[in-house]
Amino acid sequence: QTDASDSQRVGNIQFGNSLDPTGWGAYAVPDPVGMSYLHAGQLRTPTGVLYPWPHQIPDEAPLGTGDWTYTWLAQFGYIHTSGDRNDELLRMYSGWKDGAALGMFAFSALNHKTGQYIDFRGSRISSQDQYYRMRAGRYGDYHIEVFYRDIPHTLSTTAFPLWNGVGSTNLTLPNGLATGSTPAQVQAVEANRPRQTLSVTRQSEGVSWESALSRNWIGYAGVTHEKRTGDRDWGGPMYLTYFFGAPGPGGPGTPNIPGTYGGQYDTVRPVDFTTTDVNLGLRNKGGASGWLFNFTMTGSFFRDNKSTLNYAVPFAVAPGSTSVATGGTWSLEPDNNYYNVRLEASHPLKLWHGEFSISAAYSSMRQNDALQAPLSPMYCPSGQFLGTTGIACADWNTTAALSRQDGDARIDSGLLNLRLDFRPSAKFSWHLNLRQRDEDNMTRYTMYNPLTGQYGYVPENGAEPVVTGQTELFQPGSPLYQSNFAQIASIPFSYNDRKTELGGSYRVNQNNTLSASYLLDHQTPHPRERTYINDQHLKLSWDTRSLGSATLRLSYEYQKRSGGPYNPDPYLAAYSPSMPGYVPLAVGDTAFTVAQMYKYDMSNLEASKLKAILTEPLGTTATFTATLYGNRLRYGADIGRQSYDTTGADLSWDWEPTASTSMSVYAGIESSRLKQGNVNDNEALAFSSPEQADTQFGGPFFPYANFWTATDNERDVDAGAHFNHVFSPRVRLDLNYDYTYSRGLNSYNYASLAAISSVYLPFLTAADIGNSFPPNVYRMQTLTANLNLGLTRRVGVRLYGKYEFGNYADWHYAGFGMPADLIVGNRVFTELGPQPHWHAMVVGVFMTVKL
Amino acid sequence: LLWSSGAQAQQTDNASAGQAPAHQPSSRLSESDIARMLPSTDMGAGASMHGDMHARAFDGSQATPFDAAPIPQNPLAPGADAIGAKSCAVCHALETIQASHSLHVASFRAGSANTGPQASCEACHGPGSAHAKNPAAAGLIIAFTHDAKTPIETQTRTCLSCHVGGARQHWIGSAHQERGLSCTDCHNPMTRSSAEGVLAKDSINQVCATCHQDVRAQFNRRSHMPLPEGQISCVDCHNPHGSITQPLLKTDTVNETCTTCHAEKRGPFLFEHAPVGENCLNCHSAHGSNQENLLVLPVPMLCQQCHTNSQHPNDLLTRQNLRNGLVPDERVMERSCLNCHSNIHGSNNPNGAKFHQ
Repeated sequence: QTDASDSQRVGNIQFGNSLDPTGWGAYAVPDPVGMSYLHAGQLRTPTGVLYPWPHQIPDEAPLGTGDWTYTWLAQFGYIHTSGDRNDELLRMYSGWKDGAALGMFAFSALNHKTGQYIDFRGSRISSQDQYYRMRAGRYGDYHIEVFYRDIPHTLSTTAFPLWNGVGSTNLTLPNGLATGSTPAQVQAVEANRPRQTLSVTRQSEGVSWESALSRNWIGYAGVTHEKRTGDRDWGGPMYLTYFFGAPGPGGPGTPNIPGTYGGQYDTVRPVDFTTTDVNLGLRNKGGASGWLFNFTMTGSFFRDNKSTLNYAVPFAVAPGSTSVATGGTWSLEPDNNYYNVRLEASHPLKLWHGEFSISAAYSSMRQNDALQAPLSPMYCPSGQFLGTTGIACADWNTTAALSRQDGDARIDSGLLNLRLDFRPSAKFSWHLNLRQRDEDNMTRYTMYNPLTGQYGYVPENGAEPVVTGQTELFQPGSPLYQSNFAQIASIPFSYNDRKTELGGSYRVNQNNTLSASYLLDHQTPHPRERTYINDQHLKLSWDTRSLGSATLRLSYEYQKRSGGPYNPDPYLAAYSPSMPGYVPLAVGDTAFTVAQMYKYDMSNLEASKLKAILTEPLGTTATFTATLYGNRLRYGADIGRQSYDTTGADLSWDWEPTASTSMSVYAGIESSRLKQGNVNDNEALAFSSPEQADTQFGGPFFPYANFWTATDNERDVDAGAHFNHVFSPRVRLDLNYDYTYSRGLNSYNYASLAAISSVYLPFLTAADIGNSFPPNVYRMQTLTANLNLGLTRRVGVRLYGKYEFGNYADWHYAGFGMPADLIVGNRVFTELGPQPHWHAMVVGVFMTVKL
Repeated sequence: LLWSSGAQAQQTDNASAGQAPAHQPSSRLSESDIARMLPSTDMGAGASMHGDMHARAFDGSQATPFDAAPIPQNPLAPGADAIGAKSCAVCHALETIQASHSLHVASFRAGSANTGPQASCEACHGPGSAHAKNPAAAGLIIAFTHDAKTPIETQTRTCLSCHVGGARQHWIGSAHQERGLSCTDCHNPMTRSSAEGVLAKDSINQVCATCHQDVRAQFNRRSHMPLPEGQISCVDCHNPHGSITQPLLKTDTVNETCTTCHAEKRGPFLFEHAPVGENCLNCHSAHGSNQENLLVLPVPMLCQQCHTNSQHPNDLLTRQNLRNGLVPDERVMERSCLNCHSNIHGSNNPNGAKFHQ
């Protein structure tokens, strides 16, 4: 038969919405007759979970005079929202809007004789939240699928962008503002900016086909086209501001006066993407040769219709310097193409009832977008210079300043996976799996300006040279630039890995199975801090049904990662010291990083992970399920991630006493703790002492006194109860209550005040700093009710209600209470963050009409 | 059909394969009573079985592949013969009605319209004669539910005899196969509970959450993939039937799965960020997180796990750097590091080595 399971392709599998997350709720009417005359109640899955009561079979009617029958259902009505209807977290993925809505329209037709069928489902909350999907075909022979959908993603409902032109590629300052404005002037304008919602809508449509071409050959193809449109918050660096604060009028312990150099801009970028995916394949499900074979070709073509963002800035990057660096520019994501060919094949072996399988794939990611000029001619016009550096805008504001005009970036990867499975006896099986995946990153870009003969770049839209006089430029033979430590080329990261796994399982008896496996993952990243990593995993599991009628699945994994010597700076080839003509300074180069820093993807790791899942049937009508788990990860690093522990438990109880009543209760808790260490550099030595080159932790540049740690403690609790009851054949109630609470506390410790930036030492004391940020809290309670009233056999009413209330605190947004707060010295922010408290109600009245 | 509610013919524990059938004390019908209730004919199923079923099934061009559905061998009833769906329905009348609404059984019915009646119940449950003669003995029919005597391997092999290859190409060796799950842990082909996929519950997400409660809870967090809103399912990213990756991803790597929907982050870019190309999960929690954008940690702590360097990345940042603190700092407020390094997934700007542009 053809493969309608959809578990082969990524995306667009599920069609539902907040009104009905299952996409099938209108049909979820339990049939009181049950499943069998031979036994009461419902049977259980092999693991022990009760099957739900069967749904009532909808009425069918003949379609024409042939063998076709059909059925349909329409549910249409009106949705009204009240309370904090614009809350970001209420609307995150739900397009709630006052107005007419389609709860569900479903139509099915079936030819009972030939197996031909048509299924259509659709639902619409609003124009940003809707789906329509049709499947048709003939059972086991072919099927086609067509869909259209919109998925909303609300990112902020408290945005007050300073700029005009939000949604375009050019953000301009509102009337009354120009580069060189004071914070007070900007604040006055910002206070009156309109509130906007930042969101992205995914609009996608697709068509796919699958057909049995012959007894054993199946072909399939699909095309999906997705358009993403909207806006989201973005950045805008014009060099760091925090360096330049001044003591407040009250002295230490009182708010400082923000500096008037540099600038940070929380801008808004457009999202205008299209992605077209094409999928074509052929598979054989085992002919005389016995090979299971699957060949797939995939192409994905991403296009960014707005691939730049320019923004004007209201603050001068340095007081009095308004003629240049009056704005910034971004290159947004380039168009890209992705190609993948994949072959999978497997064949049974006579030896030990074995099976051999092979998977091979080759993929290529490519982009060749036209590159932008390093600086925008709008904000660094020809004829001007960047401060006192002598850097002429004309040398950097055209693409003539580039070493090449296009991206010409490409990463190819190849994969080979070989697997042998054997079952020498009914009780014992073992397997061997070899997997090799290699990447070839062919992207090479040298930052070389043929107009000036310089390597490197002008950072932060030219703002950094204006503020500090420093650049990231290198030029052999130039006294000004020959000693600059600067990045002059791209770094072509690539990751190769080879996995070897040996495992087996032994069925002790009908009710107990023990399994064990050993995996060696040998990775050779390039160029990274380690030339190779060996990640070893030992897994043990015990699956048992010997504990009465319960099923317990218990697993333990021990992981140990090690590797080659850790080189804290493997990137020198991309920096100016690797170039001929580089002249080191007498004081040497500033340490790239502390030698004892181990990045957590490259560091040693010793981990233990334990998990147990218990399913316990309770009588004939209830099931108890429990999950317990704990992970302990130790990274063996003082600087970097040190440890990450997680412990959790989830319990649930499901009860189905009759077809007319079902109930479930669940509760879960998880706590996690992630600890990291870091060390502030001795900023007094930077650029002034040879000791700045000392990379050792405990040395003069990274002294122990500057050490600090940060710990993220999180606690998550969730609980809820779902109750469904059929009061009479015409009255059905679904009532759900869900509660979620998360609390995160970011605490820190430090060896001395030298751990903080030296610029803050005049302002802060240990008492001011304390030892933690305010807690982050996310609490949400939702009460959802569906009352279905049958007026006649064909006509009914659905009353929908959702009451959601919650509170939210995130220290990133602490102190941002009103639009004027979004201006902080030379910084412009856009969002106030999610509402601290919200109450919202969504009600809907729907008429249900069915065949 | 006055069968006692306590007698679950396929579920009883006290009879095992190859042993004499045990009498069910809770039953009000004796085995001989049941034998007498069976129809006197097998409706031609036995004759069909003994002929060349496959060849006959494909003689007609209109036939569906279901015509050829083989009747699986039941190792616990090796001598049983097929008796036809109508025989089954004598006792299992209600199951027949409910199952007729299931796509799975409806397709069999359509298929059997062109061939003998064997291509229905017994295509999954195996030949039924032994069970029909002795319905109280467990194991004489292939059963797929709790306490069934049919080994899990027989259950899954039965399903895979038709549903071979494709999405299930890597079932052998998958986590679900190795942990002893049966197809019917997730699917219920005997009724239509879901829009598609003959699932055991109303939706894919409900099915997965049956066991993966800890993962379900992650979707309730502050930022999450839109599962609770019904916009996406676990199977959008995972293939529960098996894949060549340990977390059962549909693609060969985490990043290939993520960039299917987030294609803009695929690049490649002039300037790549090392952990991004390696694995999205270095910074993101795939299902849900208490931070914005599914981040594993709040920024700047997330970045400061790797970026010590010198000058601005390695300072201890504190509560006094908040907007309402004594020294507000752009490295903490709002998007923190991302206020400046916004192109953190990679930059295609010639000035973008630090993801500033």
